[in-house]
Amino acid sequence: MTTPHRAPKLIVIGASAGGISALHQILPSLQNTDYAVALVIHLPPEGPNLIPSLFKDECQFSLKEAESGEELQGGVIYVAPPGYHLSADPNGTLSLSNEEEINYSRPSIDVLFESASFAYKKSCMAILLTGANHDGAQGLKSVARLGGTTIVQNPRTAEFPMMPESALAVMKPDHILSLEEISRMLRELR
Amino acid sequence: MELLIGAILARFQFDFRQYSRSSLRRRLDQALTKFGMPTVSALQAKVLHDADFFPKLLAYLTVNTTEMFRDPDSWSSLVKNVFPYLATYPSLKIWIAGCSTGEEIITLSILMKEAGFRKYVIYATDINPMNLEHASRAIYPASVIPEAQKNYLLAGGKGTLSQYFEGAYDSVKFSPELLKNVVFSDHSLATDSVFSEMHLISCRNVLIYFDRTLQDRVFGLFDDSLVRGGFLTLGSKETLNFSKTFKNYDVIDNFNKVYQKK
Repeated sequence: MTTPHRAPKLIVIGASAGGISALHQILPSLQNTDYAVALVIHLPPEGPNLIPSLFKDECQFSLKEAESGEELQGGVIYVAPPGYHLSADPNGTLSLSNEEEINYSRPSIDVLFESASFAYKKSCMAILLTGANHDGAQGLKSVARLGGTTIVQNPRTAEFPMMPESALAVMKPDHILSLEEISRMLRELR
Repeated sequence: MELLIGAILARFQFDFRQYSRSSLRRRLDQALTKFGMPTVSALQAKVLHDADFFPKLLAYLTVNTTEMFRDPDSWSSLVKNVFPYLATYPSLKIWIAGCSTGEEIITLSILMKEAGFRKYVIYATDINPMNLEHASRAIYPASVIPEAQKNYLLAGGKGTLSQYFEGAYDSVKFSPELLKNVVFSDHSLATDSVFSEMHLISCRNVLIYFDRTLQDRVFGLFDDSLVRGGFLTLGSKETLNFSKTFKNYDVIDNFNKVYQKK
């Protein structure tokens, strides 16, 4: 597969219940604009996407809702629209999909993580945060299998530990970190 | 995956080269499970050697999830902004591109009936002949009705959805009246050409599966198919804004993706 341009490395983040406050802690720590970020947070499907406006004042990275076919740019956080799956394609673009819910979720974290694992392999970093369901566990497995870096929020410090715990039940991530440790890691990314 | 796509192109002239790879990968994974095959290569071998297999695989390669009156605001925008213009024509040609299993056809037919339209033809096309067959039967699971009824009302439906179907056990069958003005045809947006002189083209949640190059091809096709003053409507997360043809259009409703050719 030819890449038409030098795509940035990709960090994919998944969050569910408790995600907004977790993201308030870690998103402002993103500094290195060699990376692009794609984010799935479980939200009601009919609502507007408030995420970009919620975080824009505190982040160095800019935030926008992901658009179908959009080319990834470093320094941007792309947020999945409510009601659509978000995927990373191997040609450095993002795509949206109306396929059925996965793990009762659309957007699904598994869909994002899995697509990113195939598209970015070792250049993919996946971070799974607080949540009250099982989404993201299989996706994280795929990232690990294809050589990417996997991080799970420490269930002991997560507002809703179920999602991190389901991941830990099926795979061993590279790091299990508190939000503070995740923030530090993001600040120090090379 | 690329080899399979090449084989399908060479053997069946279906061109998936510009479809989103992440989406195709998921579809293939589902197909592998469903058909009990271990690898994409095994799938490819079967495609090449078993003539009956490809139509079954095709059903998995395209995303067919669709609902009646989905994005009801978009439909009510159509009724409010587009129908009055359409009413000025003595007869209408409408194209639903990528009609899938037909829910969108039922939606539009009901709205047009309630608005009093009589002389019109809806060309309903899809890449998959099995979808067209499904759409022509107008039979759907009864479980879709509650959500459809709710959205029918939000879209501006004037009566009740139950006027339009009969139920039996777990299924409902919509009135054949609703398909009286519909012509079904298989058509690939990746390879086939224009439907001319259209007054309205509706293509919702199809383009999200295409890469930008293919999206551009399709927008060109639509531009060539529309009469001047004709309308194009897209899915809620799709946009005409980045296409070369965008300058030929007025934006009637940016949020609901309704455009009018100048």
